[in-house]
Amino acid sequence: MPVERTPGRRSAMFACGLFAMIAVLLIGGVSSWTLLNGYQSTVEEHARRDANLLGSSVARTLAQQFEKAGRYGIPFTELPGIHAYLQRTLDDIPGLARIALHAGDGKVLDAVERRNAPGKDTVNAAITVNSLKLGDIAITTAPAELTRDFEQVRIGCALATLLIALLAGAATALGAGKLLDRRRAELEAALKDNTEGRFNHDLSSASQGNDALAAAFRALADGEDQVRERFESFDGYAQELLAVDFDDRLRPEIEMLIATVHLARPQEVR
Amino acid sequence: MTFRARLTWILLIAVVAVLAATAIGATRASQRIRDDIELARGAHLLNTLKTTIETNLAIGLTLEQMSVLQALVEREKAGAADVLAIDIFAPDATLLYSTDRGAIGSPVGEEWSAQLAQVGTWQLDTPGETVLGARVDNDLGTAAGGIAVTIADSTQAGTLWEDWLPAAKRLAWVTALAVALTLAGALTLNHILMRPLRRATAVLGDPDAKALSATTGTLEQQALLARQAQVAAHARADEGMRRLRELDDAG
Repeated sequence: MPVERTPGRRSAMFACGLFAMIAVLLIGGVSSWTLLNGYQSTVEEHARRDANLLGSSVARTLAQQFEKAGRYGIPFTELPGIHAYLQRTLDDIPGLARIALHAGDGKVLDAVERRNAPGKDTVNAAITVNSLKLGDIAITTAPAELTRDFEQVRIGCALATLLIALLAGAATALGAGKLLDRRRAELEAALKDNTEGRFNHDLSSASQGNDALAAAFRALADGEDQVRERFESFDGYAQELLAVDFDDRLRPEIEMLIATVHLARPQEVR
Repeated sequence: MTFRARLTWILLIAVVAVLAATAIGATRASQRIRDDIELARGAHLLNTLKTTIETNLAIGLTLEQMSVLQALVEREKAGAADVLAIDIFAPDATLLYSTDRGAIGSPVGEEWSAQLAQVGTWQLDTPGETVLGARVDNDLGTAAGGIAVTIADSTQAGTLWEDWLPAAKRLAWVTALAVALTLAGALTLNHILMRPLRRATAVLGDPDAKALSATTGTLEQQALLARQAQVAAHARADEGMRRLRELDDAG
């Protein structure tokens, strides 16, 4: 007798789907966040080194240009267009937060800054003419400016994690939870049949495996086998008696007994 | 495939997919950022050299007379590990100043000298390196020579191995931890969902269906009723056998 299913139970499907989604969001999200932090620290370290190299190179170039003015004895304060020149340099080169021109006594003669660029390190290049220090160029670097694109990776990874979590939830609900609900419904149907006196299910395929579900089917099948063995012994004995009951004297009583044992009406056992 | 195997595999694949997406996205972004930084530095270096040369040309020096350029290119290269070479060449393609001193005097490649026909900067991308170049003009606006700055890409094998070995190690331990947590989660869920089934199995395995009245939950109650029906069937069969023996003996 094939096992029928009782419809309606979807608790395992919902539990599995919800669990998978939350597990992937939590485990995947935290792992992804940890990995991104590592990558970002590596990139920022490189960016810091590169920004310092870039700042040093820019500072040296600017210092050389001011040295030319120094050689002609022109005070830096009288040079036209310094502020615009420094601003243009700052605008053209990424990774810089501030460029300052200092006099020999350390006084700031001119400075330009980039808004919203957090400064990190400052590199200096001295302006010297004939071994006399006339001032220096100080450049503050902003390596975070160079790694700003990394924030987009974080957003992308968060979206990818969410998408994969949703897919995992759907796949687990349909691929695993639905299977459990279906097999549990089959078990419940077989249990109900047992309760109503039907012990003739073929549970051989459902009993295969080493999980708790297969174990439950095996336990049910074992119980049904025991019942069937007893019924077969009883039926065999009853048939033997009926075979030698030539005058049908015992037949009504034996048929009544068979019906009682099988929980069937007397006419069903004829 | 069992429920437990399905659950475990789906969760493992999903978590590993998240980690793979993160690693691929972060690696690509890191390389892009580094390449952008290197190109920005190369562009600045190129601009500095171009300005220096054109300033000297303006005061009447020829490219061959600017011996200070050799020291300048060597100093700039010394400060930047990813700058592979800085070359300054004449309009006839002869290399005049270079970080590779042995190459000075030899002709530069056709693809570099051909770039002198165009005004402004140029860029040649080859596997592992990028060449940024510019034409330097005299006061008449004609080509007085060319500059080429060769920059290593961040994907070059040596750089990659040195920089990303720590990232690979970090990826390995984060993956191992994530897989362990996922396995633990899958097994825990499996344990919780299978608990009623284990109880039902215990009920169905009880020979007398005696100590089962305390069980709760739909599946256990159904198992209890089924087991009680089986025990009752045993009793009916035994009673039937006894009655048949009586009839047999009486007959």
